[in-house]
Amino acid sequence: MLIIKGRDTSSNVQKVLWICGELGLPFEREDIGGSFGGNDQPDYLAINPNGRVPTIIDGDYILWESNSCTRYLAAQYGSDPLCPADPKIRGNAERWMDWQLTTMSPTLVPVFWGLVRTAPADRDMDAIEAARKKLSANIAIVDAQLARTTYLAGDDFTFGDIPLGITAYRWFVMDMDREDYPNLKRWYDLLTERKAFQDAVMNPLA
Amino acid sequence: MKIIGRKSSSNVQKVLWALAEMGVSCDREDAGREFGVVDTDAYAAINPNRRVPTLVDGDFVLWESNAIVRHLTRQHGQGTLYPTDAQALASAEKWMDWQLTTLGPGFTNIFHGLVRDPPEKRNPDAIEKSRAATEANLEIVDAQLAKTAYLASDDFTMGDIPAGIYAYRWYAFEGIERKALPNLERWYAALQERPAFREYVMVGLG
Repeated sequence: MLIIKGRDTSSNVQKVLWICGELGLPFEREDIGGSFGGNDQPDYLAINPNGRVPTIIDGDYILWESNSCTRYLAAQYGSDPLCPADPKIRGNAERWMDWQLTTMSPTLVPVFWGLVRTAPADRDMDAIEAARKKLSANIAIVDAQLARTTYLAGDDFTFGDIPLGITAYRWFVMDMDREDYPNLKRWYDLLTERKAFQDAVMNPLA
Repeated sequence: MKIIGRKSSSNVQKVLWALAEMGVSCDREDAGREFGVVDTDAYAAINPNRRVPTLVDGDFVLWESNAIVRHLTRQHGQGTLYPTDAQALASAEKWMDWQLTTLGPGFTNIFHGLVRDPPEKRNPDAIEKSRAATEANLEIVDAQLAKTAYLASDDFTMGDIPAGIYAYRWYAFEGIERKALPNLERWYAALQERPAFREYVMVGLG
C-alpha cells in the first residue's frame, strides 16, 4: 500500500492526500514534521535529504516534492481529465502548479505564519498587511485566469487545481481583510463540493 | 513558435538548452532586464508575472520555465529527455521542482551579490549564507549522483536541465570556497560535453 509520510496539517502533504481522495487510492499515513518531529532523523533523511514533508513510498519507489508526487499519483493511478491527456491542457495545469511553488507560496507563507503560527500579541500587523497585499496581487492573477476558464487549466478539474486550491482555502479562512475576487470564489465554491477537498484540506489551520 | 526572453536568463536557458538537445528550432525575442518589454501592457497580457520566458505557439501561450520544458519535451523528446516510465518521469520532475523550491531560492543572494551588485553594494554575510546553502544543496545533488549517472536515472533527461544550469554558475564564480563534490564534478564534466549545454548555458554570467 502507498505510504505517505507527513503531518496532515501541511499544505504540501494535503496536496497528496487530496489527489489520493480524488483517485480513491488507499494509503497509510505517518505523522512526521512540525510538532511530530522525525524529519531531522537519519532514517527520514535517508529517504528525503531535505528533511521536509511529504515523502511518498509506493512499493520500492520513493518520491518527494509535493507537486511531483501529485502528478505521479495522478499519472500512475488516474486518467484524463484529472491527469490531462491534451498536451496544452496538461501544460496549463503544470504551469499553475509550478507557479504555486515559485510565486504564490512565497507570498502566502509570511501571511500564514503571521496569522496562524504567531501568537496575537507577537504579531507585526503592518508587516502582515504588507504581505497580505502581495498575496492578494497573486490571487488577482488566479482570478483573471478563472474569468476565462471554469478550472485553472480548462473546463475540467485537473491536478493543476490542487496546489492553488489549498492556497484558496487558506485565503478564505484566515482572519483578515479580503478583496472580492468573484471568479476565484466561484471556483472555490466548486472545490468545496468535492469530498476529497473537504476531507484533506478543509480542516483547522495549524 | 517563439520564445520571449533574454538568453542570459537561467530560466530562458532551460528552454533553449532543451530545444537544442532535441534539434527543434524556435524563434526568440529579447525581453527582460536591459531589453525591457516585460513592462509593457502587451507583455503583461500574455504573462501577468512580467517575467521571462514566455512560449508562444500559435494561440497557445505558456509561462513558467520548467512547465515549458516539460511541455516541449513531452512533444519532441519522448523516451529521451522526457522519460516514458511514470517513475522515471516523476524522478526527473522531482529535481525540476526541487530547483524551484530549494536550489534556486538558496542561490539568489550569491548570484546577485557576486554578479549583479557593484562591489560597494555587496552584503558579504548574505553572500556567504547563500554560498553555504548552495553548497549544502549541491551535496544533495552529489549524493544522488553517487547512485545514478544523471539525476533521474543513468540517462540524461530534462531532470538534469535546471540543476545543470546552476552547476555551471557555481563553477563559474571566481574566488569562492567550494567543497570537493566528486560525483557532481563527474556529472558536470559530462554536461560540458553536450554541444547544446556549451552553446546556451556556458555563456558567462550576466
